[in-house]
Amino acid sequence: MTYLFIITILMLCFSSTAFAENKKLTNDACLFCHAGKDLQVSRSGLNVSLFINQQEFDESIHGTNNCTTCHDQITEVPHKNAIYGDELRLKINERCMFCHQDLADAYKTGVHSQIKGSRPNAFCSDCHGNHRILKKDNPESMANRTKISEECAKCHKEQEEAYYESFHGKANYLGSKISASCADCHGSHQILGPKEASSTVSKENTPKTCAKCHVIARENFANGIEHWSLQNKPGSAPMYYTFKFFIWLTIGTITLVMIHMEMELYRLYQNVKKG
Amino acid sequence: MQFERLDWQQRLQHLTMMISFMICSMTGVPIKFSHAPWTHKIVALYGGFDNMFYFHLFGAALMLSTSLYHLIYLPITAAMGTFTLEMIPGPRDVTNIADNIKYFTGSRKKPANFDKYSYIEKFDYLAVFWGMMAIGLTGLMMWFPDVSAKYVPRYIVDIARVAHSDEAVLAIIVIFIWHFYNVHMNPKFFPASNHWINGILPTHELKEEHPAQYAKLLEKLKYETPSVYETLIAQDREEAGEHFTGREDR
Repeated sequence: MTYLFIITILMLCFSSTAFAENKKLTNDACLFCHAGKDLQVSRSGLNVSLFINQQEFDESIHGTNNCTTCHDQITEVPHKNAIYGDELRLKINERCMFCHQDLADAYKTGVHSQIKGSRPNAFCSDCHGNHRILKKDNPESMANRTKISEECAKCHKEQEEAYYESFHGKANYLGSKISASCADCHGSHQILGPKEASSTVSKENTPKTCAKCHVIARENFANGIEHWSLQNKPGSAPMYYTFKFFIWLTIGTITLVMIHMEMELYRLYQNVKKG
Repeated sequence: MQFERLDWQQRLQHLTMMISFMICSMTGVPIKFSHAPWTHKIVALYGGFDNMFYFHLFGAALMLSTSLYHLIYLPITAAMGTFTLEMIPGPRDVTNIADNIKYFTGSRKKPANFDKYSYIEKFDYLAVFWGMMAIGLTGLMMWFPDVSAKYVPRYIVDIARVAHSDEAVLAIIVIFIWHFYNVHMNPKFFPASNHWINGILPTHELKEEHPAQYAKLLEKLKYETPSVYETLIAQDREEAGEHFTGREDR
């Protein structure tokens, strides 16, 4: 049994030398070309940069990985079977989950992994970036709580305005470390729509989700529209008319006091002229 | 000869209201206009949003305390017998406004015959009263949203948030344009009047700005301290009859 184990280890060692040709593609070899800032290729009429910022990559959490860990379809130079676009991203998604197996199940059950056309709703790289992935505690990270909502807003345009109108959104935009980002209520890898019973924002679970911060969770507190903007739509009409009321109150008040000030200044000027 | 027009209680309340108003404006405006290009720089001055927001809450606590203090102060003045209704608008203000407009447009020689508080000062005082309803109560509702949601529907809390910042913007504009004009930029007081610090309006200013109050003061002095009364009357006569208006309206 021990011998069998040793033989297996030895075979593994030799097998890696057997694939020495693959090993030739070290990161240095990749960067020999890809460190060039002007390296680009034309894909369906668009010029796509193939430049890799080595410093940024080395500083990222994946900086110790091989390029070919993710780009495993690249085996030789020049690349014969290079894929790009959504096809590449879909392939890389698999490579992410190859290592990050603990998150794979959550992602696969969430709504972001559902395939729509040629692509899932969101690739891993849509939220986490590609060559500069940082831990989410790092304020530079795309997944940091002060940045993630901007990533969500890239697709969820209709919620963007409403979120940044809310106090959560304003505080989050200005860098609050305690205000709720999108992910705090909706979850991160296993995001589900509000109609799913197990969703964090379903009717049953919303009070519990609010109670993560607002400790006196009450049904009444969670019962309302969270994402509203100042438009005359059902749901946001009370806020819209409050807003309009104060706009006209402000205009009216300021007009009156300005007229009063101008009149008084006119009189004081006339008094000075008369002497 | 100087007379105290605002007592130390009123000056103290003005001071704490002023400080808390400044704190809340400085920390609230970046939240209201969060997407303006300069907000991140302002937030950085406080060392992050959360610090800035705690500072806002500190200002809010000071402002609410001042308002509560005032509401307690009023019945106490009543018990002490110094309570007055001079701040409440009355028919006098209607004639004062009409007279003042006549004065501005040139069909009247002198400003309106103001009592202790002119309609301008009454407006400022009642604006704070209304502002504390619109800003203080809504602010409390947002400070404890889960508690307020116990008593009111959720959209009332959202309305409170809209009303809070919109009323605050109105208050900021009124203070920095209207109030600052009246107490700083107005050529009569530029660069500033010390009235809010020592409570004293010099006699010549009192005579011009609040003739009715001055007249009442003279009436009072006539019986209490006739010597002071005589000096004042002598001064007035010296300044020539045209300017002196102690007891008559026009």
